[in-house]
Amino acid sequence: MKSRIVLVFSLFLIAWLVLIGRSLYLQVLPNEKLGQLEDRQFSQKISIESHRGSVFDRNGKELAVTVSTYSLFADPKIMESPRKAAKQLAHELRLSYAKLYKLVKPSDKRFVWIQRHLSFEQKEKIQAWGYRGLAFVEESKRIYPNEGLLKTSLGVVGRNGKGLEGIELLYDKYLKGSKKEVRVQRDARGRPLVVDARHFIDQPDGKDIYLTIDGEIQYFLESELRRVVDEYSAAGAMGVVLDAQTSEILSIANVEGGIGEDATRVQASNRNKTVTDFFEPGSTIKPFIAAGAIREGLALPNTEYDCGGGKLKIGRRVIREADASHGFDKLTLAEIIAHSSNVGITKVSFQLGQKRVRSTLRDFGFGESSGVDLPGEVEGILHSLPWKAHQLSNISFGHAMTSTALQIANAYAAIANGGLLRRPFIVKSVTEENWVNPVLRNYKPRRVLTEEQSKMMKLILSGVTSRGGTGYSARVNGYPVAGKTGTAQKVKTDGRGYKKGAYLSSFAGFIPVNEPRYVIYVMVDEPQGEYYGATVAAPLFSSIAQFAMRKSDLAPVLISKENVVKKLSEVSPKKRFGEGVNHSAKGHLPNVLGMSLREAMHILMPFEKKIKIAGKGRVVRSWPDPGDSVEKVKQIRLKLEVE
Amino acid sequence: MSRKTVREIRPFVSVFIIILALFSVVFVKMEVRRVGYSVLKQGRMYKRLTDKNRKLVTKYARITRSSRVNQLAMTKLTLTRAKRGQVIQMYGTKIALRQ
Repeated sequence: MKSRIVLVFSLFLIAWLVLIGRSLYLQVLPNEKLGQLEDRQFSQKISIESHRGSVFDRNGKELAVTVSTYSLFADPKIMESPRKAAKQLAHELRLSYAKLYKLVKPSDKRFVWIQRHLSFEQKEKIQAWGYRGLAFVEESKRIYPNEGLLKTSLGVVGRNGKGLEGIELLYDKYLKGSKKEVRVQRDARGRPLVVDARHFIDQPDGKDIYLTIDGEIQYFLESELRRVVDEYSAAGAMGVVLDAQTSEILSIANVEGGIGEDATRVQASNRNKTVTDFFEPGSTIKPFIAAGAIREGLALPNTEYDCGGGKLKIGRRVIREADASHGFDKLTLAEIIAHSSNVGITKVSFQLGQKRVRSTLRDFGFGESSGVDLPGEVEGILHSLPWKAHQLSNISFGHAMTSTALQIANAYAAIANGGLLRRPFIVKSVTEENWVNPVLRNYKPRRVLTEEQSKMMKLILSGVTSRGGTGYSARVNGYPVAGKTGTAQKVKTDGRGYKKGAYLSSFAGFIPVNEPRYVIYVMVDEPQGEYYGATVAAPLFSSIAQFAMRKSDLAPVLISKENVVKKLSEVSPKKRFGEGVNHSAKGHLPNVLGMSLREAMHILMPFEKKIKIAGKGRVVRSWPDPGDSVEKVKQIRLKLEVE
Repeated sequence: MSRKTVREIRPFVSVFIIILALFSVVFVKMEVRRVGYSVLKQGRMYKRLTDKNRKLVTKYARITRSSRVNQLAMTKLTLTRAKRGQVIQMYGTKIALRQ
């Protein structure tokens, strides 16, 4: 009996051992085939789509943002209740029922787009209907909240989320992020089981980019360029504002005339012409010839030159002043720049010689790429030596050579910052540790002038905006301005020579002279009627410079009656509050007569009443009258008039 | 408790401990699943809120864009653009005017 028991027990034991051994073999020992089977059955791959990084201006304001959207598609082969679904979809998406039914009605197709880029709320609503055969794909959409602001530099993103132009293209590798795939266990219903929260928090999103651009200056520059283009019926205009000390691009824009009239122009307006297009800069080049003479020790600001009564014969050609009435006999170097004398600057360039003229212009960055981090930059043309005499003369006043708007602005920045030519750049930082802009990584600023020579040049350029100088209209009340006007003939795009009656009107300068903060270059292409830099571009410069200075924290240097507006405390109490009314009586309307809108609003805001305003200027009447009770009134009305 | 009693209940205690251990393992596994679902839910919520935040930020950027503020200032508040000579700075470190 005992032996039988032992036998049965042994048999069971062996059977159990075999089972345990088999399960150990399956569970513990590595087996590729079984592993794959297990993977297929119990695990799931989750793709976490990356969001393209945002682009911000220097003040952290969004210029380009990516948001998630949901695109709806149908599988007509398995679609249930297509009529009912089409009806509901038509109502929700505001599309035609017939069109939708055509898409979702039973067919052999397995995939048709219904509507792309729906909101999360719409997606939730449609999903709640529970139709089999309707599904969503998560997509991204690039949004530019400021509409067209900085569009030529920002560029665009294609449908596949890849940068196609501008910063979107050049910094695509930082912005695009990467697709993340996570393998997780899933349950019988196919839902992910064990999920590490970090998978969702550590998103593989693209890096954010902070630009050197100041959104407000950018907006003002663009609107002013647009205004001037409209005012002068110009073919276009462009402008660049740089930080005078670092060559950071604060604002860069070009606008086209007649947008919407012809498709080529609209397309051309998407190009960042300030770096992709070159042109003959005209007289804005003259200061660099003068700078060459100063740094070679050939001249000082007060060195006199014989200007031959406004004419100079070079071979068979005669060089004349731009204005026929300017028959100067003798001018100092400073006066040559102030009056923009072609003959005078030709004399200076002859004294300097072609070799030194070329090397000076090269040193200031002409004829070579500035290296800015914007795509499509051109170098401009500065011919190799030897030059003919008339060619040297033409180059000295900005013809027979070409440059970009950015090159000119950057060369002026070298004068403004004390003689260092820096590399302009537009990307300030990327949200990545220890990131340094690649264009600045191994770049050393080039000294083109000594501090002393730079001061002399500032003095010379200040003379341009003094009374009698060509850039008098570039002045900004309160701040000394240095700069130079330019009026260049426009080269024909078909054939040789210049286009008749077509000019490029420009002004380049910096403000304030004593402590340069902004370098501004503006150019108006083919203005109609007026075309001199002094009348078209200089006032435009003044307007932009004035706005920039208002934004800066620099107090006016030149104080005059016009640029000081009295503070509220300095306005006479009689004018401020009127007589005989206790403006502080509780529940009664204070007397705001004579106040500016800002002052009146400041006083009336605590009443928490709706304030209706009519007119502009100072308050001349209020309803209710000063001193009346405001407890029962629904709104306070103010009438303003200009004094 | 006598030695005899202890000896008698020892097998039951052992079985109880084994069952308890098994239940604990099952409980822990279920808890892992439950937390997994909870994390998934929170993850989805996190993503949804991030998206919402992104949309609100975009909306804010849209309504505070310079062109709109400028237009509102001119139409609603009847303000005009600063004219020449209206460069006023009443603050700043290098102020030249008496404050």
